[in-house]
Amino acid sequence: MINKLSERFFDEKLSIGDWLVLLTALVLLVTLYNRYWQSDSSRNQAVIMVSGQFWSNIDLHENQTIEVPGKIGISIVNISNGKIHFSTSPCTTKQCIHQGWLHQGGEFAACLPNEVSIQIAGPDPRFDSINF
Amino acid sequence: MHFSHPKQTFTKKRGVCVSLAITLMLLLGSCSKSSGVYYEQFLEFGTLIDVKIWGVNEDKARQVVALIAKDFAFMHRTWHTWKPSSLGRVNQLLPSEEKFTVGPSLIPLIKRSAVLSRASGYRFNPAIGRLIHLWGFATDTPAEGPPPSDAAIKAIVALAPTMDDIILEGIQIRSVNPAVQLDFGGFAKGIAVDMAIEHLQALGIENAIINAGGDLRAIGRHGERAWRIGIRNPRGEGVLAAVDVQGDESVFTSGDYERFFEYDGVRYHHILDPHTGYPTQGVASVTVFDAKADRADAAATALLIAGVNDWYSVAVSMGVSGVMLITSDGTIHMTPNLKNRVYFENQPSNNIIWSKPLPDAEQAQ
Repeated sequence: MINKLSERFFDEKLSIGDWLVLLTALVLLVTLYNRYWQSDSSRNQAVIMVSGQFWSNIDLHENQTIEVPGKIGISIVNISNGKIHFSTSPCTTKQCIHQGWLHQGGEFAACLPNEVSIQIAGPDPRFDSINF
Repeated sequence: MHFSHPKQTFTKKRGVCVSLAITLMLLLGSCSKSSGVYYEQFLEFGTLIDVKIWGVNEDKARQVVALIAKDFAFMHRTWHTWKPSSLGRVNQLLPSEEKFTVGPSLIPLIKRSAVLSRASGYRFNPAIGRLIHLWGFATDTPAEGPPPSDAAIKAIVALAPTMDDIILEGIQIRSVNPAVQLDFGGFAKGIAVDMAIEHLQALGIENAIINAGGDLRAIGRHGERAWRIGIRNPRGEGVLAAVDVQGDESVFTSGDYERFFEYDGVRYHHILDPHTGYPTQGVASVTVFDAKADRADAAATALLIAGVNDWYSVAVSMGVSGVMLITSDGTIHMTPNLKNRVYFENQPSNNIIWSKPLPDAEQAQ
């Protein structure tokens, strides 16, 4: 039964409409995959939160410097070549700066006194949680 | 007959085309990584608490997180060391050596920490609040130094306050050592995480991670796979190693990099050895694996104080299930049961030193 069906399928010429359906499906597959499911570093995003609330989504593809107003002052966050880090913060321990550049999914740094946190939020973070 | 046959085939062919197209789209759907994880953060215990829940709808997840966030807020208020709190009142009254009534939520904290303190050979010691205060680590503003005088440190160490000096009778408490001041900084987070996880379980949540400022307990799984945890490098940047956690397990790390001050070019960190009164030396971080977050929390501190020579015996007496210790020069010591679980991002430059296996963790308290 299946053999017979596939014989018929390959023997008969496909109409333009058939090809269109297949082509559209393929094009959609490739575009949608790239648009929503690719997770190379150039597409990675970071989430900035202030006092536990969502503040902004940052595209790590674009090199930039962002000023984040926190509880005790302004934290400055740098984005360069798909990585992000705290470059300045009004805290005294500077632990957030010590945490260095983040680039892997799930990586996280926070300035607790200023209540500012940054976290890599790739569509498939390599880690669900970070222990330190 | 001649015309009906091709017509029939075309219909079938179209059917095959459409089903192929649908299959392709379904294929795309099955790649979905949005994966049903609910994620929320809140600030409590002076740190960022993040909660991930897998496998329940968003409304339910939001409700349960709101409930445990309230719990965390209550515990923080009640157990706070240097702000007005139930614990603050206890610390005010303890030096009198008279009997008084204690806030009930503190009782399990006192009892459990006393058991763990004894098992650690008094390295984990929540009774040294005076020493922590003397060093300036018990405030919202970071310590700046100078370090306290040697005489002041020795005076407290000589009085040797421990949890054994606390006599608990029902809901009444008294101290037999006027030097006892309670500080649950190395423990409250662990017990709070345990309570929050148990609360989640009671509310029907089977798959979740609660991460309180880097220390976590995970239950269940992330769908088809285990929860993936990254352990941060205590000296360099980024993640040192990856570990999969499933079922029910806590991963707690204590490190000399968490809170510290520098004075005259010397770095003083916040983990004090109760026997010397000074910050520990030689170990950068200790990561403890255990079913219970409270024991993992206490043990991470105790093992860091125990140092390279004694960590194994303290791990055995506390009954934890796995340990990774990293010395100040980057040497990694590990229990052999972590061999096939912890994957290093980059091959460590120093050799890993494997300890003897730990006895069955279940036998310990």
